[in-house]
Amino acid sequence: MNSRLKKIIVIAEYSDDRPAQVTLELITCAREIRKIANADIQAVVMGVRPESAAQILSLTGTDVVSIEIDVEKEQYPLFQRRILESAMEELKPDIIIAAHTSMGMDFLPGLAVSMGASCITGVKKITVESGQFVFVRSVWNGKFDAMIRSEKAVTAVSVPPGSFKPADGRAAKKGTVSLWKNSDIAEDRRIRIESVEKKGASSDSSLDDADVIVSAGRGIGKEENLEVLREFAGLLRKSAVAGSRPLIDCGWLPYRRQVGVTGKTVSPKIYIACGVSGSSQHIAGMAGSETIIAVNTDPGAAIFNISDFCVIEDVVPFMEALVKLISTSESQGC
Amino acid sequence: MKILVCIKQVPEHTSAVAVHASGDRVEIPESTKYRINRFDEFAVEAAAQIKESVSGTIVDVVTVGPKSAETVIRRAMGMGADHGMIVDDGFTDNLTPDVISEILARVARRSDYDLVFTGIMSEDEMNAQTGQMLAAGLDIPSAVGVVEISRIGSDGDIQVIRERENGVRERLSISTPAVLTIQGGINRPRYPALSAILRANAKNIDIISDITPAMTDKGNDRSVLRIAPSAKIRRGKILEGSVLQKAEKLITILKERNVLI
Ligand SMILES: Cc1cc2nc3c(=O)[nH]c(=O)nc-3n(C[C@H](O)[C@H](O)[C@H](O)COP(=O)(O)OP(=O)(O)OC[C@H]3O[C@@H](n4cnc5c(N)ncnc54)[C@H](O)[C@@H]3O)c2cc1C
Ligand SMILES: Nc1ncnc2c1ncn2[C@@H]1O[C@H](COP(=O)(O)O)[C@@H](O)[C@H]1O
Repeated sequence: MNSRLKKIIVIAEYSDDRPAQVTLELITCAREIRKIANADIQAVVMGVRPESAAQILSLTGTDVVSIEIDVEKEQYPLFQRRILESAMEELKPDIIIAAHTSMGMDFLPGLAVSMGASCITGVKKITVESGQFVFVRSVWNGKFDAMIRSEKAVTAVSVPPGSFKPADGRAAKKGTVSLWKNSDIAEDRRIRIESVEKKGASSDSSLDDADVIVSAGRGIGKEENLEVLREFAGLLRKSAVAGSRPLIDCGWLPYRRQVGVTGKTVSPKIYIACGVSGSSQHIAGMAGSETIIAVNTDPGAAIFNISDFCVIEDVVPFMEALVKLISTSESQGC
Repeated sequence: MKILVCIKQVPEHTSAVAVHASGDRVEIPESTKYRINRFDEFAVEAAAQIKESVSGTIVDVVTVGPKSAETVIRRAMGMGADHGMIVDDGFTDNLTPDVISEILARVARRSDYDLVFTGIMSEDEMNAQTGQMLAAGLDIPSAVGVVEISRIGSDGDIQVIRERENGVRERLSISTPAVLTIQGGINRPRYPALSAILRANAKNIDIISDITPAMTDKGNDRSVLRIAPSAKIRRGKILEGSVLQKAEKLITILKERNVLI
């Protein structure tokens, strides 16, 4: 796909009548592409009551298509995808940008298949080389970046939250809002959303209040090894022990201690990652920490790229040595 | 009920994986041991549990990869899968999800599967899209990020819970056949018992060579220009010295920030 394109479509997400933060970030992403290739940008907001969100989004100076669907159809995700597919037929995008979220992950690959488009997920940066777009994505749990070229005329990309700065909602000139209704789409009721429930991560504030978070990853090896991390945390003021998702999945730590895109977002004074690889899903939850320290045996682990201080060591013996050193220096009164 | 589980092998450890001299792929040392992609292990366990609760259930596992992927297929069989299949990829590097999903669709069409499971994401490629593309190719529904399979109805409907952001979960009713992409934490994958491993080792694994990447009319929808170590965002000062010296340096850092009690 070369950089001479005509239209970029941003698929919006919204809640409580407002566009999602990530959608404003996608607008910035679209504008960066426009800097390279002078294309039109349009955002699509689809849902039961999309209009307010569409109006707010247009304040960024973006033209918006607002697609209203009946309440009845809202329960059927595949039905909504069909509506989106037919909208794309009309809008004829060269690039579709969606968020790499549970929503984007759900509909984008299927949409790309039906459009014969290339689908490139988790794109955190877009550049141009010899007149062609290069899509940069994380691979191998964040260890490497892959620079990817699309081989199709149409490209669908998903962008993780936090990859671009959100667009300002006070543009000199408001974008247009076109109101669409979609009624004549073949029904697809093979998936139905029965109910939505909340597992409640945010109720526990121990991670929010902590100045120091000692975070365990799979590199700690076994559950018993959490003990030395707890001991270490016990030597620190206002500290808490947290973990990467696999540890919560194993039941070693409760869900409210999970850091990452599907857990909590934290920004303590000090975050100490112990045996955590640093996948983008984990980093999304702790990148805002003031000081980041990582302990890992692999000098090439991605976590070291966002660390201020790196300790290349086997985590358990290192933590044991650390605890011992702190305890003895205390008993000596220094 | 017939279930197909799609699994991928990934290196047991990734510290020795490096960028290949060609710069457009990674190099995995010859001696590397492989394991099942973690999310796929949850998928195999989910299928094994259905087999235990719904009588007459048959579980097949498939991987698109080298013949040496036999090890991970046997492991899945040890966990409870009945049949194992390897679609020999002919050592083609960099197969993209559109090609892999097309190959998997061709395998799936050979039998009447009620359910097809994939992991939510491969730990190496991290596309989080193969299952959804497979569903689109088969024109069946998919649920992404399943953390619970709550009900398997005799009416051909199943009920699952799918994870969204911020602890939000959606309860879905899906008509089969369907693809479920399985998220971590749905279960605790078992260690196969020795007897199960011995049984699995005695079974045949089908090597499928009449479905090849070249046969898919799709072709890679993208190509890799380069692979590079990911960029440094912070200064990343390496603490040098012996274990003790590193620990001392770390204590100084903690003291400077006044967090030691
Ligand atoms: C939709 C989705 C949502 C997700 N949400 C989250 C989330 O919210 N939070 C989250 O954390 N993950 C999440 N994940 C999972 C994520 O992709 C990674 O799989 C996970 O973060 C990896 O955890 P880890 O770093 O502990 O384990 P691994 O990736 O296995 O890394 C272990 C690390 O330990 C190191 N190590 C090994 N042995 C030692 C030793 N002896 N001493 C020191 N270091 C050692 C290794 O070098 C490696 O770097 C999500 C995934 C998906 C698909
Ligand atoms: N080569 C493969 N063979 C079999 N299944 C695969 C293969 N690649 C990916 N999958 C399945 O698709 C899921 C998602 O992979 P990906 O889209 O690459 O993140 C994995 O968890 C596997 O279940």
